[in-house]
Amino acid sequence: MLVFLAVVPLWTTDDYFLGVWTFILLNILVVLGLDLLLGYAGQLSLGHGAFVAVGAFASALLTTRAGWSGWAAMPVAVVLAALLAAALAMPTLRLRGYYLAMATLGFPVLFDAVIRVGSTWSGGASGVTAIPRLSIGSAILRDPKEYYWLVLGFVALVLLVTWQIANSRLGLKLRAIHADETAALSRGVPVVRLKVGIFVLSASIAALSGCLYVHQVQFVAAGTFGLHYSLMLVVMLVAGGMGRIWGGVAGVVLLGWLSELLRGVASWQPVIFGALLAGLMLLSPGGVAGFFRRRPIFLPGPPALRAATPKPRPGVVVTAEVLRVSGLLRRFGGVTAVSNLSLNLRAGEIRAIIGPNGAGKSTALALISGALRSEEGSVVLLGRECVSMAADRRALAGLGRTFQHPRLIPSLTVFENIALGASCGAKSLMESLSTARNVLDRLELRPVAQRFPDEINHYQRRLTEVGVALASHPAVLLLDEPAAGLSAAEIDRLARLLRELRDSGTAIILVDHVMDLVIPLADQVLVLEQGRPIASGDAQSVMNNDRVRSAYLGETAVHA
Amino acid sequence: MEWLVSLPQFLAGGLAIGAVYGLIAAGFSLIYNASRVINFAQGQFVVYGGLLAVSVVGWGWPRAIGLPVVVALCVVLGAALQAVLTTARKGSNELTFVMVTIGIGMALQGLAHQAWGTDYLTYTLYPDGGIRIGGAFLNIATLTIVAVTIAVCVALWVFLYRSMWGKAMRACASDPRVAQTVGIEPRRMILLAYIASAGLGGLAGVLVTPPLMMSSEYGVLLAIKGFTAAIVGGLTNPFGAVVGGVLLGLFEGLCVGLVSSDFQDAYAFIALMIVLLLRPQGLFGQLQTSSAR
Repeated sequence: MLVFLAVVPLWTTDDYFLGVWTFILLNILVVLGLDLLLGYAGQLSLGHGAFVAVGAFASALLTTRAGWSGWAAMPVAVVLAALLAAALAMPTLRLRGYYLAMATLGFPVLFDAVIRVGSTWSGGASGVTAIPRLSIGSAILRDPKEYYWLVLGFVALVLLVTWQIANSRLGLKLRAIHADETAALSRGVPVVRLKVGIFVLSASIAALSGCLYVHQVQFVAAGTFGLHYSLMLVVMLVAGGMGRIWGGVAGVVLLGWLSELLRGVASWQPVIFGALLAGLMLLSPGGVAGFFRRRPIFLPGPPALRAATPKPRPGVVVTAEVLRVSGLLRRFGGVTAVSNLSLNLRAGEIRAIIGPNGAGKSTALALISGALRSEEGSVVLLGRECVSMAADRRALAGLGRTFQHPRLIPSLTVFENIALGASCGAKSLMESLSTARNVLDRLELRPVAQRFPDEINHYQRRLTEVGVALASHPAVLLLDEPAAGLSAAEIDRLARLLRELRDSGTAIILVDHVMDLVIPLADQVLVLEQGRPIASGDAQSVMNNDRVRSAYLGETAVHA
Repeated sequence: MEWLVSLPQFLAGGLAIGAVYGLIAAGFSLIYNASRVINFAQGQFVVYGGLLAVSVVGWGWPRAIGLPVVVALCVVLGAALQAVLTTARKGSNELTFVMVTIGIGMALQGLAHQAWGTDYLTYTLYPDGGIRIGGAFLNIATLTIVAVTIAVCVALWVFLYRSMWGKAMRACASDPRVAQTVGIEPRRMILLAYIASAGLGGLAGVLVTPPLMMSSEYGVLLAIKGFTAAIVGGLTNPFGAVVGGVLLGLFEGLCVGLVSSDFQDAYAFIALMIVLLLRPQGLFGQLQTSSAR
């Protein structure tokens, strides 16, 4: 693709044609950044044009009014855009939803008003004119061909950066945020920080494009990068394929060509491209790239000759206490979902939590893992109080969890999902990949390592879900109904795995209804009813407890 | 202290447009509650309501027939939008639906541009005159818009809290899966939400165009302002959203009067950022809590 773009100037001497291709390159820059934000992290910006405008105006004003060189103005313009983006992102991206999309619709309105009000220095609607060209040494870049290659150089640079991000652990984390923020947090992904960071980066790239634009066109005015431009960026990205770097590049070229074709009916373009966006999202949300299977980011590599023997997490002393939970409380409106939840857990112990449907078992796990905040009480993990920590920090501190319905990231392969689990705690990429390979071998998931979650069976999905949690090397593993929907043989295999884990020093909290799994496995059983613990002890004594029997079977059945 | 004297008039200036923001905001809220989707095409209903009314009146239709027909056409538009959304592939997420509404909004704005150009258009509806309360003069247009908004709120309340359909809609908003087990079809409720919010949007357009004029390019601005109003009041609460609209209108009126009218359309964005920073759940809403499962 890059090669194709590099040879464009070789077969043309037409300056207009070359100018069109320079614009295409400038749009590719912006769309590459937008792809990181929208395609990878799943956050929608409808005002990316405004950041292009920030770069353009900052560069234009610094060079014309303050007499700076274009090269000096460029970093200042980019930093300015980054700061504005950060200010926009902090309030909006700490929330889930489409607040950023709305704020990025509103920001250009403010920016435009500022430019128009300050028309004495900004030129307002009549614009800034006579912006100097960039020069290298004493040579001014006047030749469109030279400028084309300069812009191409920047495209190559940004392409390299985005490629690195997309094909790294960060790329896995961004895809996880896109698919499921709750799951991402439980794997230790610092969701808000990454969302803000990627938005700032993407706005900075847009500003860079704006800087390069003004030194080519030598003119910029209020409204040059308006709403229509911002929306077109989104349409280009969607047409080419979100979340695939070459998809964005292809989309820009495709739509650049399409709008040249549609010049005769220019006034109908919003209708055509709007309908195109809606149609693509409905029928083929993957765009052009969606027709090609994604190349895996990380490969599982050859199997290890001898599976590494599982070791306890550093800092864990076998049979010492790893988790102390006391007095957790959570209410939803008037309903008390969990109250007075307390338990102590030693390394190498399996604790089962059972109770009838609606007893608060999943809520209890959510409170321990940090997916929900507890109103009272404390959670001490490996000697550290973490009741006020969010789920991602608890995951890093040593809490792994699975969900009742497996929450694998659909856009990642089985191996990549497990690598995601390994990537937040590990010090290096090598370490996280080797951990992920170990988990893969230990769970015998190697045959499906390269498949996507919707291509494997239920048992394999459950196992992968356990593997993702294991890959973070947890001191405490929380399992929410891992046996639901499994056959007897599969439950046996799961039980064997859990025993192995216990013997290697992992503490396990197991929530399940399947007594065939729970009774033989659990060292201790805690019974919840209506959010309150009603009994605790070894499996046999708990099952003979009258209150437990009446909770499960009803009063009369017990006393009959 | 001159500004203190004119303060009531600044506030009065924001009242009518605030009520209109409230109607748009209620539409956002209804659709969000039913489907967790932010409908970015919401502002287009208002534009089409206003511009269709201009055309219908221009063709010489009596207002008593023409204006209800315009609102009905907007309702059809809302139903059509929802029908398009239902063709999404199975397993599509909210981002898909949101982006479809963006595309359709873009296309609708383009069509409005083709049909009506970009000029400010208006028609006459309200008689001259008004009343003086305190230091403020309220004209008949403002009084009518406020009265209609209150009437709409009452009707919406009766619908949501007293009718079977409304109760089904609320049940579906709080938990579609549970609602389904008692025989409520979430899809129908979503359709109902789109119909209601398109109707509210169309009505807002019909009401606001005579005093303030309408242009085919207003859709996005109206959407930003309606959304901000919904956030101020609380996105999950349609009545809170109406109150949020009035507050936003008053805030705009104050800022235009006291600061400058140059930033008239940017104040909503500033208000949005402040509210998201200080109280993201809004005045009367609840913050989304993630499910335990």
